[in-house]
Amino acid sequence: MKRSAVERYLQDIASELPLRRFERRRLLSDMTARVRAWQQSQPSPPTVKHLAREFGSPRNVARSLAKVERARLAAGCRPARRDRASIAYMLARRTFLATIPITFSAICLVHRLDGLRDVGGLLFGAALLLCGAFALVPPDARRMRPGRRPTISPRRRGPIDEYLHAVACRLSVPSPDRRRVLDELRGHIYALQDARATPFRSAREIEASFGRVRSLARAIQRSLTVTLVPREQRKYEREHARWLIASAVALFAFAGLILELVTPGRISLMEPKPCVDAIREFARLLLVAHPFALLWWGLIAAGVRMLVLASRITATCPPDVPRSPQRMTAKA
Amino acid sequence: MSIDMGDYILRGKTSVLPRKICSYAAGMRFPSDWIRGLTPMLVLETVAADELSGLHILARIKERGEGLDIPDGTIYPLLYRLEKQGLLRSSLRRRPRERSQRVYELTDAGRRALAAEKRRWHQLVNHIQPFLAPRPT
Repeated sequence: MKRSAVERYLQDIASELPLRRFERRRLLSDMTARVRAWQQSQPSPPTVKHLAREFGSPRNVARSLAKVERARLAAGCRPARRDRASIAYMLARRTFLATIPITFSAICLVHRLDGLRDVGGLLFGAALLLCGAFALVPPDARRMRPGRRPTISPRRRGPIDEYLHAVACRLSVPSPDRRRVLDELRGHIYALQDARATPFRSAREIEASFGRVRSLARAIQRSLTVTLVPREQRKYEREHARWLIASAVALFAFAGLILELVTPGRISLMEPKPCVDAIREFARLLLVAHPFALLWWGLIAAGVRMLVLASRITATCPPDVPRSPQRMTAKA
Repeated sequence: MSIDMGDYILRGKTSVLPRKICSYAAGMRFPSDWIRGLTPMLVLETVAADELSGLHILARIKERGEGLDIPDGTIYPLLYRLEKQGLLRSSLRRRPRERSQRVYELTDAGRRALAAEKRRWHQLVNHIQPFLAPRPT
């Protein structure tokens, strides 16, 4: 069955939209309504080319839709009413998925503690517990939390609120910074209004005296965000991150050896001791009552610190790209 | 005759004016680039005397600069930048029955930077002045 031009056009937009399914569905349904309304006014059925000329190429439309959606979310606006059910469903599904490893780990932990077998079981249980917690909190749950309030409620909209809301929508900075900026701007604009004979009648009037929303937001954004350091001035390279990870692994291994020394037989390197003694020694180690405890905790802390540093370096450094021969020649 | 020189247009016989200009109270006009470049120094100098909010910093600049016109919206990005650079420090000032206000004060680094900027500005003026002095006929 041959699809109509409108369907193909919308399908092209959908394939270019880098958003989640329910966001994509909502944005596309809005777009569909617009396209259908336009189609009604046309004498003949439009082609994809007509649609692209009227609304923009699918890639551009998708990019602008995604950009607006991201800016809206970054500005702390609430997700659309239609999305909240989908988000609730997503969280419920994740919770259900998380309960499986959590329950299993709980069983594992209780069983191991009851039987007082070994530390390996404890560690395995703890790892499972961590997996469950990880599944429970998705990385984007904070961003999409339905209860988040917008910085300025769109419900009470005077021209000043409208102006500030427009600025807020274009700011992608942490919430405390955004609140602070908006509070400051609000005070200033109200002071300007008090100094005038008449109050501002529209946001455009404020724009005329205070500056365009877009340029103001861009300037504030630029002044609040971290300045990017050019690659030449970078202190660390990816190579350093690799060394850090290797060192962290070595430290953890050393900590494991100490653990084996304190609670012999847990990872089968030494002659095993009774489990009750091992658990007691392990507890002493955790509570810094053992002679090796400080060393052990120090090794763990140093290892974790190194991993954190390595992840930061990896996140900020661009990936290693082998230099092309031409570039090397050009540089030479 | 009109020669385009990037931002500047050389018109007729006398005036070299940029396209974007910033008005001055005494009826004179200055390039906005000049003002933009000098605003950080003006802000630091204004804040050096007292703790002031953004609104009051602007008012003080207009007052001391005899109506020097700096657009209201430009002051905040600049204040945030200076604060990020550690030249200014901000704090919330609570006021009874009024909105609390964020005020800015100069840090030690800011004082040093201001002194250096002033010194450089005077040096620049000294360098430029001989060029602009009337030529002996």
